[in-house]
Amino acid sequence: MSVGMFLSGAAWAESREPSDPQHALGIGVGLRGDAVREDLLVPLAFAGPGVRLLSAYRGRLGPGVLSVRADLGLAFLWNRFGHMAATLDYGAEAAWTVRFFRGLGWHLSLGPALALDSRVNFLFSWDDAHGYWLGAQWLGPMLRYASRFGDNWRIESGAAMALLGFEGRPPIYRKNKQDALNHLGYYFTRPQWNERFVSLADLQVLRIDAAVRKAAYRDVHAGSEIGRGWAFGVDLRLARTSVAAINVNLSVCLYAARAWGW
Amino acid sequence: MRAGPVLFFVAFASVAAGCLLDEEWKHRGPTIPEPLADGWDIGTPESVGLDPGALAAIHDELLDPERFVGALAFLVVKDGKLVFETYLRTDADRDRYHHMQSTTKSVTSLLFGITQEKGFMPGVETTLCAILADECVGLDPRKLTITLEHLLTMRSGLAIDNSDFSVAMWVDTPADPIRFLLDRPLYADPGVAYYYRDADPQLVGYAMQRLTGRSEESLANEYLFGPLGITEYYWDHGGHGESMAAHGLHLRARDLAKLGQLVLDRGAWQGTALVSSEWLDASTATQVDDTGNPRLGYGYYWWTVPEVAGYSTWGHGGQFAFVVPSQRLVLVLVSWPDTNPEQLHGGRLEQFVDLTRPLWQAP
Repeated sequence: MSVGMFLSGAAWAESREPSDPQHALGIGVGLRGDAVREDLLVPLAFAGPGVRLLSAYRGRLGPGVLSVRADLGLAFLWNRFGHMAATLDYGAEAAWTVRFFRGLGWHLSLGPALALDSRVNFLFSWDDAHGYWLGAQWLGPMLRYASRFGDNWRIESGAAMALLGFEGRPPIYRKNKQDALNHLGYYFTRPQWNERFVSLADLQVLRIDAAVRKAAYRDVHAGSEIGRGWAFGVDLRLARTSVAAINVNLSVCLYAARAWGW
Repeated sequence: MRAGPVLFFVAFASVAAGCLLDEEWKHRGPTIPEPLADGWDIGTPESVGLDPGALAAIHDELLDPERFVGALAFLVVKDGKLVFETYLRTDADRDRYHHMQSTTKSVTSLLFGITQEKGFMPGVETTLCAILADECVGLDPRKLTITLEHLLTMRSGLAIDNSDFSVAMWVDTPADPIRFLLDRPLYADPGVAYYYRDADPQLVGYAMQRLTGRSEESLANEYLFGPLGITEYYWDHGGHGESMAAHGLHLRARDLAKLGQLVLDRGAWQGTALVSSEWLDASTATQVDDTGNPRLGYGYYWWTVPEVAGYSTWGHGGQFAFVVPSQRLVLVLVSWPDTNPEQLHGGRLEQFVDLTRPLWQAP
């Protein structure tokens, strides 16, 4: 039997078809549009395009599906005066969802999601381009929808939001040049610094994804149980914190995947 | 997949994400100072002969989002009276201290004068290595000739720019920061060429700390801030406990104005002498003509403004206590964040001098 497996934004198909693989691993690359407003510096919106890299795993786990994803992105932004900024973000997400409602050709699944969202913004003309970060580790529900149409096509969508977690924002006083380029560790550790416990009232994070994948089930390599496939997805992420920052990114990604274990 | 739909999506995504809107960050607040029992006499512009229309025009310009973009506070003191005070983002900024950036250097200069008068610090002709002898062992002999005056006028010759200085001193924290600075190569022989850097005032700070046994913050608290009634401040320090002598001080706008008034009154505050007038005369006189800026000279960590026979502090991004002795004026601007003066208006002292020209220029 030949099988293709497709990955989309936050998770893939939750359909648990008999022919679904036990495991699938994929990588993706995409383009995106970002908008950032770092109110600790100035409430000017910066927006512009960027790129995104993504890797993901999905596997059956008990009665549900475990999906894990990590991504890295970079975008260059401008405000209305033409001043430039850059934003570097990375994140990870693990969700376990169980089907709870099934219609004709579609179903809904629900479960907990644990996520890491980290972003460092650099407004080059403001505060000597020092990095201003928003880091969050949060727990919240994830709802996923999957449907089939025709023999080969699926549409998948999902949404997750933060209920509680930890949030890191820059302190008022910080050392100059702490983010010098020869201190690369800064970019990946600072968002998790100076954290405080937060709930929905303090930090609003929303992740929405939608994807179309072609469920070909035709491409298992001869003599193995490994298949390959692709998907095309759209992600929207919104993060807003009471400590004065709003980040939005909307991305489109193309994913390549390998799957095994039927 | 065709590229067209992808490009369309990216364009759409950028526009959609770009729907995040700007917010106005300046606001028109009150301008009449409130009596706070903090040592300031309050007056009105009319009572000291200032034109309210000129002040209103300056206020309007400060509220322009494309002019003085980081401006937080603007204060006017004339004849010893606080006559105009406004906060351009939020009125709450009145009660907060703000990063003074390199205005800190001017406070280091005041402390030098105070500790010299009290007998701790020697004359400015003294070499640094006469004070920090242990750290000077084995140095390039030319560095042994660096004097306190060279350091006070940014002419030590030690080559380390401010970005490298901040990373090396406050992020990496060398085991022996004094030796680290003295080991920098020379860009010129000591005393020859002006080069504005944070390293020179930091070495002055180390010299004061060595001879007094106390940090600059401790000295300031006793000899300067205490007598001036400055109680809410913050002075950042390095990994060895040293006060950041070039850029670590945070003050409220009213307290920055007190420093300007203190110097205008030749070292006296409400009748009590805190700093020697001789020191202030020397430190606010032009010691360096060739600063690279034809409109400004440099004293001992004070910028001089020859066109008005005045002087000012200058902190990165726009922290000024601009003093015009002939008009008995102290003009204060506090800004945040510090901004790139090449792209954003308001961070340069000349801009503030020009903004306030109607207040100090004789009719």
